[in-house]
Amino acid sequence: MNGQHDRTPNRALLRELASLLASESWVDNTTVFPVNRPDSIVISLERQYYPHKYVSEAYIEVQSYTNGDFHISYVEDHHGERWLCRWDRHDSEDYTRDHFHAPPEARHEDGENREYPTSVWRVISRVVAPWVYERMGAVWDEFDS
Amino acid sequence: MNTSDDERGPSPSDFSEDLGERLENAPADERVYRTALELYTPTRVVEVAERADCSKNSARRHLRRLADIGVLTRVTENPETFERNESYFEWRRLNRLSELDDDEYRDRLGELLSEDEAYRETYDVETPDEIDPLEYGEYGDVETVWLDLNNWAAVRREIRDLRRSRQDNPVGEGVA
Repeated sequence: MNGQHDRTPNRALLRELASLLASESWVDNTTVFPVNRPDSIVISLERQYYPHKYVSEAYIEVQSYTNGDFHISYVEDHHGERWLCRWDRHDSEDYTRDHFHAPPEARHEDGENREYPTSVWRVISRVVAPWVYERMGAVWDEFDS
Repeated sequence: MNTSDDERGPSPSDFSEDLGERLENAPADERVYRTALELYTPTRVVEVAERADCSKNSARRHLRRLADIGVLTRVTENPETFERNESYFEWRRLNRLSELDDDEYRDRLGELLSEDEAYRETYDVETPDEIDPLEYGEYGDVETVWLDLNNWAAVRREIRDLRRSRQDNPVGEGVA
Protein backbone atom coordinates (compact mmCIF):
# COMPACT_ATOMS: atom_id res chain seq x y z
CA MET A 1 0.00 0.00 0.00
CA ASN A 2 2.28 2.74 -1.25
CA GLY A 3 0.06 4.92 -3.40
CA GLN A 4 0.97 3.08 -6.59
CA HIS A 5 -1.90 1.98 -8.78
CA ASP A 6 0.04 0.47 -11.66
CA ARG A 7 -0.42 -3.22 -10.95
CA THR A 8 -1.38 -5.41 -13.93
CA PRO A 9 -4.38 -7.66 -13.34
CA ASN A 10 -3.88 -11.37 -13.96
CA ARG A 11 -6.89 -11.49 -16.27
CA ALA A 12 -6.22 -14.96 -17.65
CA LEU A 13 -6.23 -16.39 -14.12
CA LEU A 14 -9.37 -14.47 -13.16
CA ARG A 15 -11.25 -15.69 -16.24
CA GLU A 16 -10.19 -19.26 -15.55
CA LEU A 17 -11.23 -18.94 -11.91
CA ALA A 18 -14.62 -17.48 -12.84
CA SER A 19 -15.31 -20.29 -15.25
CA LEU A 20 -14.34 -22.89 -12.63
CA LEU A 21 -16.58 -21.35 -9.97
CA ALA A 22 -19.54 -20.75 -12.32
CA SER A 23 -20.54 -24.41 -12.09
CA GLU A 24 -20.30 -24.65 -8.28
CA SER A 25 -23.52 -25.40 -6.39
CA TRP A 26 -23.01 -22.46 -4.00
CA VAL A 27 -22.47 -19.96 -6.82
CA ASP A 28 -25.42 -18.23 -8.47
CA ASN A 29 -23.52 -16.49 -11.28
CA THR A 30 -20.16 -14.93 -12.10
CA THR A 31 -19.34 -11.62 -13.77
CA VAL A 32 -15.97 -11.07 -15.39
CA PHE A 33 -14.55 -7.52 -15.37
CA PRO A 34 -17.79 -5.55 -14.86
CA VAL A 35 -17.53 -1.99 -16.12
CA ASN A 36 -17.50 -0.48 -12.60
CA ARG A 37 -14.86 -3.03 -11.41
CA PRO A 38 -12.64 -3.59 -14.48
CA ASP A 39 -9.92 -5.53 -12.57
CA SER A 40 -12.30 -7.89 -10.77
CA ILE A 41 -14.42 -10.96 -11.11
CA VAL A 42 -17.58 -10.98 -9.01
CA ILE A 43 -18.98 -14.29 -7.80
CA SER A 44 -22.62 -13.96 -6.69
CA LEU A 45 -23.48 -16.59 -4.11
CA GLU A 46 -26.55 -18.81 -4.13
CA ARG A 47 -29.46 -16.84 -2.63
CA GLN A 48 -31.19 -19.98 -1.38
CA TYR A 49 -28.43 -20.41 1.19
CA TYR A 50 -29.18 -17.08 2.91
CA PRO A 51 -32.25 -15.87 4.82
CA HIS A 52 -33.56 -13.14 2.55
CA LYS A 53 -34.96 -11.06 5.41
CA TYR A 54 -31.42 -10.75 6.76
CA VAL A 55 -29.12 -10.90 3.71
CA SER A 56 -30.40 -9.52 0.41
CA GLU A 57 -27.33 -10.70 -1.51
CA ALA A 58 -23.82 -11.99 -0.96
CA TYR A 59 -20.83 -12.09 -3.29
CA ILE A 60 -17.10 -12.63 -3.49
CA GLU A 61 -14.92 -10.22 -5.44
CA VAL A 62 -11.49 -11.40 -6.57
CA GLN A 63 -8.59 -9.26 -7.78
CA SER A 64 -5.29 -10.86 -8.72
CA TYR A 65 -2.18 -9.13 -10.06
CA THR A 66 0.96 -10.18 -11.88
CA ASN A 67 3.16 -9.07 -8.98
CA GLY A 68 1.49 -11.80 -6.90
CA ASP A 69 -0.84 -9.45 -4.99
CA PHE A 70 -4.45 -10.40 -4.48
CA HIS A 71 -7.56 -9.10 -2.73
CA ILE A 72 -10.46 -11.47 -2.11
CA SER A 73 -13.47 -9.76 -0.55
CA TYR A 74 -16.54 -11.43 0.86
CA VAL A 75 -19.52 -9.07 1.05
CA GLU A 76 -23.02 -9.51 2.45
CA ASP A 77 -25.62 -6.88 1.76
CA HIS A 78 -27.89 -6.60 4.81
CA HIS A 79 -30.53 -4.63 2.91
CA GLY A 80 -28.32 -1.60 2.48
CA GLU A 81 -25.71 -2.19 5.15
CA ARG A 82 -22.57 -4.00 4.07
CA TRP A 83 -20.96 -6.75 6.16
CA LEU A 84 -17.57 -7.66 4.75
CA CYS A 85 -14.11 -9.11 5.22
CA ARG A 86 -11.06 -9.50 2.98
CA TRP A 87 -8.16 -11.88 2.40
CA ASP A 88 -5.17 -9.89 1.15
CA ARG A 89 -1.69 -10.48 -0.22
CA HIS A 90 0.19 -7.20 -0.65
CA ASP A 91 2.99 -5.29 1.06
CA SER A 92 1.80 -3.45 4.11
CA GLU A 93 3.50 -1.30 6.71
CA ASP A 94 1.45 -2.75 9.53
CA TYR A 95 0.90 -6.40 8.59
CA THR A 96 2.66 -9.33 6.97
CA ARG A 97 2.24 -9.60 3.21
CA ASP A 98 -0.50 -12.21 3.74
CA HIS A 99 -3.21 -10.87 6.04
CA PHE A 100 -6.91 -10.83 6.69
CA HIS A 101 -9.21 -7.88 7.38
CA ALA A 102 -11.86 -9.09 9.78
CA PRO A 103 -15.60 -8.45 9.48
CA PRO A 104 -17.89 -6.61 9.80
CA GLU A 105 -16.07 -3.67 8.20
CA ALA A 106 -12.69 -5.01 7.04
CA ARG A 107 -11.02 -1.72 7.91
CA HIS A 108 -7.24 -1.34 7.79
CA GLU A 109 -7.08 -1.59 11.57
CA ASP A 110 -9.05 -4.85 11.50
CA GLY A 111 -6.05 -6.62 9.94
CA GLU A 112 -4.66 -9.92 11.25
CA ASN A 113 -1.43 -11.50 10.02
CA ARG A 114 -1.91 -14.75 8.10
CA GLU A 115 0.01 -17.15 5.93
CA TYR A 116 -1.79 -18.47 2.86
CA PRO A 117 -0.93 -21.21 0.37
CA THR A 118 1.23 -19.89 -2.52
CA SER A 119 -1.41 -20.55 -5.16
CA VAL A 120 -4.58 -18.47 -5.44
CA TRP A 121 -6.40 -21.68 -6.45
CA ARG A 122 -5.59 -23.16 -3.06
CA VAL A 123 -6.39 -19.93 -1.24
CA ILE A 124 -9.86 -20.13 -2.77
CA SER A 125 -10.43 -23.85 -2.20
CA ARG A 126 -8.71 -24.23 1.19
CA VAL A 127 -9.20 -20.86 2.86
CA VAL A 128 -12.06 -18.90 1.32
CA ALA A 129 -14.56 -21.62 0.37
CA PRO A 130 -14.43 -23.38 3.79
CA TRP A 131 -14.83 -19.99 5.47
CA VAL A 132 -17.85 -19.15 3.29
CA TYR A 133 -19.43 -22.53 4.09
CA GLU A 134 -19.01 -21.84 7.83
CA ARG A 135 -20.35 -18.33 7.42
CA MET A 136 -23.48 -19.50 5.60
CA GLY A 137 -24.31 -21.62 8.65
CA ALA A 138 -23.51 -18.81 11.09
CA VAL A 139 -25.77 -16.40 9.20
CA TRP A 140 -28.77 -18.65 9.96
CA ASP A 141 -27.83 -18.69 13.65
CA GLU A 142 -27.59 -14.89 13.72
CA PHE A 143 -30.88 -14.59 11.88
CA ASP A 144 -32.72 -16.99 14.19
CA SER A 145 -31.41 -15.43 17.39
CA MET B 1 -36.40 -14.92 -6.80
CA ASN B 2 -38.73 -14.20 -3.90
CA THR B 3 -38.67 -17.61 -2.31
CA SER B 4 -39.78 -17.29 1.29
CA ASP B 5 -37.20 -17.94 3.97
CA ASP B 6 -39.06 -21.13 4.91
CA GLU B 7 -37.89 -22.68 1.68
CA ARG B 8 -34.35 -21.51 2.13
CA GLY B 9 -31.57 -22.91 4.25
CA PRO B 10 -27.81 -23.29 4.52
CA SER B 11 -25.90 -25.53 2.15
CA PRO B 12 -26.68 -29.19 2.92
CA SER B 13 -23.05 -30.22 2.45
CA ASP B 14 -19.54 -28.75 2.65
CA PHE B 15 -19.02 -27.55 -0.91
CA SER B 16 -15.43 -26.51 -0.21
CA GLU B 17 -14.39 -30.17 -0.12
CA ASP B 18 -15.96 -30.75 -3.53
CA LEU B 19 -14.16 -27.73 -4.94
CA GLY B 20 -10.82 -28.99 -3.61
CA GLU B 21 -11.48 -32.37 -5.21
CA ARG B 22 -12.45 -30.81 -8.54
CA LEU B 23 -9.15 -28.94 -8.62
CA GLU B 24 -7.11 -31.96 -7.58
CA ASN B 25 -8.86 -34.35 -9.96
CA ALA B 26 -8.62 -32.11 -13.03
CA PRO B 27 -6.50 -33.47 -15.91
CA ALA B 28 -2.76 -32.84 -15.47
CA ASP B 29 -2.57 -30.38 -18.38
CA GLU B 30 -5.27 -28.22 -16.75
CA ARG B 31 -3.52 -28.33 -13.38
CA VAL B 32 -0.22 -27.31 -14.98
CA TYR B 33 -1.94 -24.53 -16.94
CA ARG B 34 -3.55 -23.14 -13.77
CA THR B 35 -0.17 -23.21 -12.07
CA ALA B 36 1.49 -21.65 -15.13
CA LEU B 37 -0.79 -18.63 -14.86
CA GLU B 38 0.85 -17.88 -11.51
CA LEU B 39 4.50 -18.21 -12.58
CA TYR B 40 5.42 -14.58 -11.94
CA THR B 41 9.12 -15.42 -11.54
CA PRO B 42 11.32 -18.09 -13.18
CA THR B 43 10.25 -21.37 -11.62
CA ARG B 44 11.78 -24.84 -11.81
CA VAL B 45 9.93 -27.84 -13.19
CA VAL B 46 10.10 -29.66 -9.87
CA GLU B 47 8.26 -26.85 -8.14
CA VAL B 48 5.55 -26.72 -10.79
CA ALA B 49 5.18 -30.51 -10.47
CA GLU B 50 4.70 -30.10 -6.75
CA ARG B 51 2.20 -27.26 -7.04
CA ALA B 52 0.25 -29.00 -9.81
CA ASP B 53 0.53 -32.35 -8.03
CA CYS B 54 1.83 -34.28 -11.04
CA SER B 55 5.03 -36.04 -12.06
CA LYS B 56 8.06 -34.04 -13.09
CA ASN B 57 7.95 -35.52 -16.58
CA SER B 58 4.34 -34.60 -17.02
CA ALA B 59 4.94 -31.06 -15.73
CA ARG B 60 7.92 -30.63 -18.06
CA ARG B 61 5.95 -31.83 -21.09
CA HIS B 62 3.05 -29.44 -20.44
CA LEU B 63 5.34 -26.53 -19.57
CA ARG B 64 7.27 -26.95 -22.81
CA ARG B 65 4.05 -27.00 -24.77
CA LEU B 66 2.87 -23.80 -23.05
CA ALA B 67 6.24 -22.26 -23.93
CA ASP B 68 5.83 -23.39 -27.57
CA ILE B 69 2.50 -21.58 -27.90
CA GLY B 70 3.81 -18.46 -26.18
CA VAL B 71 2.00 -18.57 -22.82
CA LEU B 72 5.29 -19.11 -20.99
CA THR B 73 8.91 -18.21 -21.61
CA ARG B 74 11.65 -20.74 -20.96
CA VAL B 75 14.07 -18.58 -18.99
CA THR B 76 16.96 -20.97 -18.38
CA GLU B 77 17.73 -24.38 -19.85
CA ASN B 78 19.74 -26.04 -17.11
CA PRO B 79 18.00 -26.31 -14.78
CA GLU B 80 14.93 -25.62 -16.88
CA THR B 81 12.86 -22.70 -15.56
CA PHE B 82 9.69 -21.07 -16.89
CA GLU B 83 7.79 -17.86 -16.28
CA ARG B 84 4.74 -16.09 -17.72
CA ASN B 85 5.24 -14.38 -21.05
CA GLU B 86 3.59 -11.06 -20.22
CA SER B 87 3.64 -9.85 -23.82
CA TYR B 88 1.48 -12.84 -24.78
CA PHE B 89 -1.14 -11.88 -22.17
CA GLU B 90 -0.99 -8.23 -23.23
CA TRP B 91 -1.54 -9.27 -26.85
CA ARG B 92 -4.43 -11.50 -25.81
CA ARG B 93 -6.07 -8.61 -23.97
CA LEU B 94 -5.78 -6.11 -26.81
CA ASN B 95 -6.97 -8.76 -29.22
CA ARG B 96 -10.04 -9.39 -27.10
CA LEU B 97 -10.81 -5.67 -26.84
CA SER B 98 -10.40 -5.22 -30.59
CA GLU B 99 -13.01 -7.93 -31.16
CA LEU B 100 -15.79 -5.90 -29.51
CA ASP B 101 -18.31 -4.74 -32.08
CA ASP B 102 -18.98 -1.01 -32.46
CA ASP B 103 -21.98 -0.96 -30.11
CA GLU B 104 -20.24 -2.94 -27.38
CA TYR B 105 -17.21 -0.70 -27.72
CA ARG B 106 -19.23 2.53 -27.51
CA ASP B 107 -21.35 1.29 -24.59
CA ARG B 108 -18.40 0.13 -22.55
CA LEU B 109 -16.35 3.25 -23.26
CA GLY B 110 -19.32 5.49 -22.39
CA GLU B 111 -19.93 3.72 -19.09
CA LEU B 112 -16.22 3.82 -18.23
CA LEU B 113 -16.07 7.54 -18.94
CA SER B 114 -18.99 8.16 -16.56
CA GLU B 115 -17.25 6.04 -13.90
CA ASP B 116 -14.13 8.18 -14.38
CA GLU B 117 -16.22 11.35 -14.14
CA ALA B 118 -17.87 10.16 -10.90
CA TYR B 119 -14.47 9.48 -9.34
CA ARG B 120 -13.21 12.93 -10.34
CA GLU B 121 -16.22 14.46 -8.58
CA THR B 122 -15.85 12.29 -5.49
CA TYR B 123 -12.17 13.05 -4.98
CA ASP B 124 -12.08 16.47 -6.63
CA VAL B 125 -8.86 15.71 -8.55
CA GLU B 126 -8.22 14.68 -12.16
CA THR B 127 -6.31 11.42 -11.56
CA PRO B 128 -5.90 8.99 -8.65
CA ASP B 129 -2.15 9.68 -8.50
CA GLU B 130 -2.84 13.25 -7.43
CA ILE B 131 -3.87 12.09 -3.99
CA ASP B 132 -1.00 11.65 -1.57
CA PRO B 133 -1.18 8.34 0.34
CA LEU B 134 -0.72 10.35 3.53
CA GLU B 135 -4.06 12.00 2.78
CA TYR B 136 -6.05 8.79 2.30
CA GLY B 137 -7.28 9.00 5.88
CA GLU B 138 -9.11 12.22 5.09
CA TYR B 139 -11.48 10.29 2.83
CA GLY B 140 -12.20 7.33 5.12
CA ASP B 141 -10.48 4.08 6.03
CA VAL B 142 -6.99 4.28 4.47
CA GLU B 143 -7.03 0.85 2.89
CA THR B 144 -10.57 1.17 1.56
CA VAL B 145 -9.61 4.48 -0.02
CA TRP B 146 -6.47 2.91 -1.53
CA LEU B 147 -8.57 0.10 -3.05
CA ASP B 148 -11.11 2.59 -4.33
CA LEU B 149 -8.35 4.62 -6.01
CA ASN B 150 -6.99 1.36 -7.43
CA ASN B 151 -10.36 0.77 -9.00
CA TRP B 152 -10.38 4.28 -10.41
CA ALA B 153 -6.93 3.63 -11.92
CA ALA B 154 -8.31 0.39 -13.39
CA VAL B 155 -11.17 2.30 -14.99
CA ARG B 156 -8.69 4.71 -16.58
CA ARG B 157 -6.44 1.88 -17.76
CA GLU B 158 -9.42 0.21 -19.38
CA ILE B 159 -10.37 3.45 -21.17
CA ARG B 160 -6.81 3.80 -22.45
CA ASP B 161 -6.59 0.16 -23.59
CA LEU B 162 -9.99 0.27 -25.26
CA ARG B 163 -8.97 3.33 -27.26
CA ARG B 164 -5.63 1.78 -28.07
CA SER B 165 -7.44 -1.26 -29.43
CA ARG B 166 -9.17 1.02 -31.98
CA GLN B 167 -6.32 3.46 -32.50
CA ASP B 168 -8.98 5.94 -31.45
CA ASN B 169 -7.14 8.38 -29.26
CA PRO B 170 -8.60 11.85 -29.60
CA VAL B 171 -6.61 14.63 -28.00
CA GLY B 172 -8.04 16.41 -24.99
CA GLU B 173 -10.42 13.80 -23.70
CA GLY B 174 -8.76 13.58 -20.36
CA VAL B 175 -7.39 10.08 -20.32
CA ALA B 176 -4.16 9.63 -22.25
